[in-house]
Amino acid sequence: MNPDFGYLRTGVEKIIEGIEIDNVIPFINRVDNSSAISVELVYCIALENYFKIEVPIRAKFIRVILSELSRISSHILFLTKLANALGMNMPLHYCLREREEILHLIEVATGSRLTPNFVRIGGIKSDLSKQFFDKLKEILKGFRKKVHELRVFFLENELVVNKLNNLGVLVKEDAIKLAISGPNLRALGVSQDIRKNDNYEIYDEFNFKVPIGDRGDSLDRCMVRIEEIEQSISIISQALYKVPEGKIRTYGEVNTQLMENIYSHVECPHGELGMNISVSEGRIAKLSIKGPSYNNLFAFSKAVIGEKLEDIELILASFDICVCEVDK
Amino acid sequence: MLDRPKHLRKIKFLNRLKNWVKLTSINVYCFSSGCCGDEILATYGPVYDLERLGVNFVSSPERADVLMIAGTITKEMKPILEDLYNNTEDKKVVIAVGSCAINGGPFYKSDYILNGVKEIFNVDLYVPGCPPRPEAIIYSILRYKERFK
Repeated sequence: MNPDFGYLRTGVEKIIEGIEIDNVIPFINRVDNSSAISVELVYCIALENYFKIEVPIRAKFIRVILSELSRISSHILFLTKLANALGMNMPLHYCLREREEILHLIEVATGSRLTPNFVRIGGIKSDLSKQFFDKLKEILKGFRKKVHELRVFFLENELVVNKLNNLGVLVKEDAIKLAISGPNLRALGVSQDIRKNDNYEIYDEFNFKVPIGDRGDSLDRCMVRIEEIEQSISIISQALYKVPEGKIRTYGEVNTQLMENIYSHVECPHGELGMNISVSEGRIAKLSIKGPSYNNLFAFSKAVIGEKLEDIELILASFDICVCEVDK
Repeated sequence: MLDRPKHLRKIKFLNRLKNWVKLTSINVYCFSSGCCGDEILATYGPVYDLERLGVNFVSSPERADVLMIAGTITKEMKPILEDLYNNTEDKKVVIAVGSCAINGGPFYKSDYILNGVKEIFNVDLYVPGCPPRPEAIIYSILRYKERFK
């Protein structure tokens, strides 16, 4: 099976050539529609590392909280798509209700539900109020129970487990050849997470596990994502009580000389999101985004071989492919 | 002579019946991509609940009264959209959701995209926003309903 490209191609990487480096963020956060904040984050981290701008600790904490919130919302969207492919209506509505609470929190913090435009080079756009943290505490209190409900729907339901078990198995050698990353790789039993391995923000201050599967079928992919939601909740609840007072942004000196191939990567909900930037005279000369969904699409076309025709939609949903990111 | 007004009354009644049916069950075919598609999915959920207004999301364009088009419209998509438009009913209403479908949005400079659906066929209602809130999408359905009152 060969994917056919070009139906959603917008050419973002070409449009932003020649734009000043501060004005790029609203263009690139449309690349990943389910967690836009991770695209903003990888762009800002790349330039901060190069210019050696030190981000205030309060801003770092707020970035972590928001990126974990968007990870939760993206994984719940995955469960929605899976429930839709399975033909289950009740879990679908439960998932959409839970996702709405998280999107409301993101909206209170940033002003937009899906495209926040919040992270800046050297910090964040605006400070979060005390009301936001109170609301976050209130919602997190009941959220563990709701995630447990979703776990009962998907992993303790005999019909769903029998359907997803041994469906769309991906072999480990194929996966490493195709360089896939994220939850799809972790479902194979490989413990690879940039939050643990690279510590790009202040992730080394929190205790969290990296959930892994063992066989690499659709059930494992579903299980890994549900457990990641629980881990994200624990990261947020640890971060809530540690957030210090202070500044939220530092204005560093930005060189206007030519510089090439600045690279950085973060762990977005679909996998490893990398970005390669070249800047000249304060404007973007070339920018290329390496999204995880592109590799996951080819992994899907490997995993689908030998399965029934009616199961293809289900296997496609289990890989969690963000189509905007494949055709940029 | 006596037949005519009775006959007319019948037509009037049938028209009112048809309008009432159209008002209470709206079949929407949704063609979406990107973040606007996520917001249309959110209107289907229990918080916004578009179905309480009588909206059904159908999966074939032959049954649709309303075509809802959201997301970026590329040049490759043009033949697909023309096919879709010709297969729907005669008295259809087209709703363009999001600034990408209205005039290209943030990508209006790109070589790969069309500047909105209006380059392919007529659009009746526009829902601005990038992406529009679910309330805006619900409001477009309410505006559609005003035609039959």
